[in-house]
Amino acid sequence: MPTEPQYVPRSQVLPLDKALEVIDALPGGGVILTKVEEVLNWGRAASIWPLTFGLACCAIEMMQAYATRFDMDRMGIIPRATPRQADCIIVAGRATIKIAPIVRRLWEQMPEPKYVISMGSCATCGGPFYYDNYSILKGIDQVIPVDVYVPGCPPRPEALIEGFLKLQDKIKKEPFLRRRIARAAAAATQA
Amino acid sequence: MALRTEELMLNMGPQHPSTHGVLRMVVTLDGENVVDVQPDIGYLHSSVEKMMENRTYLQNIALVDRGMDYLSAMANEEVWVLACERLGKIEVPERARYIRTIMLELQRISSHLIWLGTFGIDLGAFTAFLWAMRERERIMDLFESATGGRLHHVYFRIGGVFEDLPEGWTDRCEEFCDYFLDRLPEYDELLTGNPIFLARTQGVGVLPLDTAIAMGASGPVARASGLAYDVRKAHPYEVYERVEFDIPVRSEGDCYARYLVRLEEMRQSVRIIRQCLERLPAGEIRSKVAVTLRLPKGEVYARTESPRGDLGIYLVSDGADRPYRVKIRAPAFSNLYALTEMMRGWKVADVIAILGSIDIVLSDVDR
Amino acid sequence: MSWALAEKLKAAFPDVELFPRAGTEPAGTRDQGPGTGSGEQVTAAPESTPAAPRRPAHEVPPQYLTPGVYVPREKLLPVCTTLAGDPEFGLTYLSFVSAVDWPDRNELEVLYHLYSHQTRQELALKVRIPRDDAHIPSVSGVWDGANWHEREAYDLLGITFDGHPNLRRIMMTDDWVGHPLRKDYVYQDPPWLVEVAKERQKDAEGLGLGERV
Ligand code: SF4
Repeated sequence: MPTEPQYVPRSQVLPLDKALEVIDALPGGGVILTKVEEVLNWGRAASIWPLTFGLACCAIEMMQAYATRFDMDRMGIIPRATPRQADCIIVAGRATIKIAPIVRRLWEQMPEPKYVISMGSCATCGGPFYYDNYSILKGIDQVIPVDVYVPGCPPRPEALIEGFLKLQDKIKKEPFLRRRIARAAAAATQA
Repeated sequence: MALRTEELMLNMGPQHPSTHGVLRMVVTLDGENVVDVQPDIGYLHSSVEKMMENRTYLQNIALVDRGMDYLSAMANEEVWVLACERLGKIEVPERARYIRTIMLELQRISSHLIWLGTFGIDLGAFTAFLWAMRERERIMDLFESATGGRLHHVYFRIGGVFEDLPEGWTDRCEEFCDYFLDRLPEYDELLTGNPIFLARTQGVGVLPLDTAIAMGASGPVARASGLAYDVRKAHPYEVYERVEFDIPVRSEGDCYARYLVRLEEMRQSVRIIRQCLERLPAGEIRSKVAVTLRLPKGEVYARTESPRGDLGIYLVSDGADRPYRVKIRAPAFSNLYALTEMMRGWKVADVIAILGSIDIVLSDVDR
Repeated sequence: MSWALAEKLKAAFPDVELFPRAGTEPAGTRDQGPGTGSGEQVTAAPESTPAAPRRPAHEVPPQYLTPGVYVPREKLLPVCTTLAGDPEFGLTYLSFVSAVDWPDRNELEVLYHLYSHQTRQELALKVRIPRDDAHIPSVSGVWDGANWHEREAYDLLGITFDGHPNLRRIMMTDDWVGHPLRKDYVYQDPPWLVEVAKERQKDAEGLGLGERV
């Protein structure tokens, strides 16, 4: 029986986690790591690519924010049409129970690290559709975790931009390399 | 031996950049040719009809803005207050009627602009989107200064409008009309004569007249197929019987005809707005109506021409302070039903063009 | 809006019954209300007859401002075929199909609204059916556009349209329980949602943003 070619995960070819751990342990390595992290985060924060995914009325304001007057391109925010290329999903509008599994699947399809902006009161908590309603999800955070809530019905484009700035702040502070180390260490102890 | 071929099922949406929201289409393909299209809707069903039964007549104005067709909030408010006014026999002051007409037509322009922009994107003309949004921002400014809201206005009231127009609004509106008429020829240059645009729309997605009527299509979709029917002319409401305007009708029934009809409608809307601004009378803007309004027992069907077509509300009241049952007749629902008929036999690339040309709003389809 | 079409239909099909009109009410109740003066051909226009002292709301007879008729269930198909096919009526355009739920009368009123582009006349049809036996013939053979409207009525109000080509749920998911627009419907979260939400709740409480490591 011919043996099948062994699949080698990429992380074993290039043990990045291991390298990070080693650097972290070096004297002064922590500083380097922090600096690298900062540079990487700066890059990530300045190029958030959200998924073009509009649900309801808020999506119209989202379109306005991409368009002429507000022009989110100038902050590096460029809409992508597929979740595989996106690192942020704007839940713009009310989500029904029928579409909730699809939002969840889209979110699962996005590569890590990924972020969620919940735009409008509907996506945040059900908003105007909270009472006497049988089909709207009372808040998208029942299905996926949310990073930034933008209130309003609909939020103005300026509010959405503010939401993105908040998200940028969050990304800039994120110690994602150290998290990687911690995760690798945890996996190692478990194995 | 004949080559064996198979039909392919293609699933578009609910997340697809050109389904205009959360529409899912199951397209059956034979090679490149579309054999069948089954739209799957309901992804934005917001249970508006149920919620309206539990809200007072006044509260419902805010609800119809959001729950029905969100691109033309004014048109939704209009049909709702019209139904209530008819049933309650409530008078509307003259000035309010003119203001309403102006707002409705501004809303029509802004809704058609969104359509124009997204239709442009669908066909690969991103410029059209940017330009349309630029114009639309101007309308949003007008709306915002008069009503306080950009998308959802809650401006109409049963028996009038909420507030008078702010100072200088009419001048700014006049200015916008001039500006907009200046810009429209640009779209002609960009799209109407564009060979790529023509190749993708002319003769594509034809909807014959009798099919359009049988399927209940209305609005620009039906008018592009040759049905000279517009509620504004057939059953005038507000001040439409007093202003002059034309109903653009074409007989081709293809995507290009639908495009031309909408473009012409925008011109006519500007014409209506100008006449209204000229004749805008002074005076009251709201008749006295109690906040806890109770409509008499009864039933009424009110209809208006929304940017998407024949929008109606069947209102059943049992004498309480909230409606007993509201049925919304959504134009996009019927127009979308006609989609299957339009698409059969076309290439898969035309699916996008045809879908874009009927101008659906999913919240109008699903409600 | 004139009631001429409704009366014509009454002449052709004696089984149908016109919506009660203000002018044709029994004598005891006609002392008040708009439109009493003219007797016949009542229009929706408000009239300035000095109103008698207002009676409490529950005593005022309902006013039907849209002309319409009640059709018995067995007669629906012949009536509809006539309305759509006979050029005398020419009601070729179906605005919508829906229903009104009256639980205290144990009755569903299936509602059709028809329109003619030529004569600009409208007509509402109502069919009363019992709530627990909600069957009605489908009119999608008469007006093609009825297809989706009937599916919607089936989905939201639980009316079975006999002879419909594709009677499935249209708005809600296929496994939905109940018919939401009925007055006695009680909403419940579907079980999968309860589970997912619980999981999310745990993540949010225990680990901060749990999924993000
Ligand atoms: S928050 Fe308001 S604008 Fe946004 S989706 Fe909900 S109802 Fe529409």
